[in-house]
Amino acid sequence: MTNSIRLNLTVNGEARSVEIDPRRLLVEVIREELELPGTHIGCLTGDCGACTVERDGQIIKSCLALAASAEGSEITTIEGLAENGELSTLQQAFWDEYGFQCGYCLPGMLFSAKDLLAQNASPSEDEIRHAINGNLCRCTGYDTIVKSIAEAAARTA
Amino acid sequence: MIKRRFAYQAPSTLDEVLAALAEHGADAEVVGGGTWVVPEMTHGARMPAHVVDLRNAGLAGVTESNGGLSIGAMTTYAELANDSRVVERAGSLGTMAAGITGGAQVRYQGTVGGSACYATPSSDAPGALVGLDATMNLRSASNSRAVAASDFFKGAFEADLADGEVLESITLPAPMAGARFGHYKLKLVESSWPIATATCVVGVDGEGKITAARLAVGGVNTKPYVVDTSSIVGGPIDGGAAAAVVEAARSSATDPYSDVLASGEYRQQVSGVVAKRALLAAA
Repeated sequence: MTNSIRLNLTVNGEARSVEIDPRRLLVEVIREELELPGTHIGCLTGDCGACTVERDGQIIKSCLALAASAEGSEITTIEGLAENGELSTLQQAFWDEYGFQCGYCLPGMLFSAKDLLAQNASPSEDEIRHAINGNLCRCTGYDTIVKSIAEAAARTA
Repeated sequence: MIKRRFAYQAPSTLDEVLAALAEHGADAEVVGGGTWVVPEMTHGARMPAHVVDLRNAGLAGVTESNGGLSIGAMTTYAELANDSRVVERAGSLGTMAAGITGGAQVRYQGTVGGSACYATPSSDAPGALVGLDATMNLRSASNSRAVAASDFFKGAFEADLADGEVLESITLPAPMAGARFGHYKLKLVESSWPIATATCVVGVDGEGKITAARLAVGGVNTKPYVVDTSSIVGGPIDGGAAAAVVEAARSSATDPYSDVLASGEYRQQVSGVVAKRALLAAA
């Protein structure tokens, strides 16, 4: 039984079309078919947030989505955050404030921070902590992540 | 990758969804927001031969209905939390939606309708829907029926939803005069499932007296239950009303649910204070 389907997406601004097995999760297609391994697989249960990407402007956990369900949508992955080869303001703030250690949670943290800052340009510490409550980090203890996001907000103000 | 092969379809009308479900019956799994059923398939807990995705069937969105609201089955938590009509006419549902565990990602993806259909005892939606006296509108290829939320939840992981049926929408009645809403969720850590939830809607007159009240507790019993609030009607929302609600909520916690997060005995113990905090949140 062969029931592969064609999936058409816009990924980081570029039209992409791939043949997939409908059993594929979106995160698997991003990493293995689109060859964008910056999006990470952590738990596959929706708890850790390492697989966070943007779909049509909203952040989602791409392990909770069938790739087939993303047909026609616009996806932004971590590879799409840099601007003209330069780190975005948010990425630079994480770099400067040691907002990551092993880096596994980093793509998800960046997307949650981006979602927050798009709605709230000068968040309080509590609001920052609330905004990353769908993302687990096992290195930093979160303090430097919170500082990085506050720093990014300050630099954008 | 999900292990068992399945055929995938995302029909563009509800009628086509219903035809597919009529054809495949128990072999079909419905995917809404995906936050529950997709990981269940990933881990092999569900192995359907057919997956019917609702994303193109036009079931998302909130509309006004007889002074209340109609919530399409595919409406996400984020849409509910950001809709001023929800805040105004069903405020506790907005509070519930904004407080869903899992981060903004899950609130953009997950749906209150999907959560209801899986009837997880300790999830947020069941208690909130029973508290608001919601009606679940179900469709199949041959039938449509409306079921009160308090009847829809039949037990742990058991909803009144037959093979071939799908939830089309949830109707919320017009709120009572002077309605105030309260919602409270107890969880032990930030990333945890709820341990117990309570939702109340209280009508309050110009003198601050309660004219009518409805309060439901979720997560404690295997299904949500309505607390007897008759003794607080006529008085203010105060310490006396709160104490009465504590006793009433505990005395109805007769079929407590146990899981790895909390024993039934613990849930029974906290039911009173959770109900009280929901009432005081409406003050």
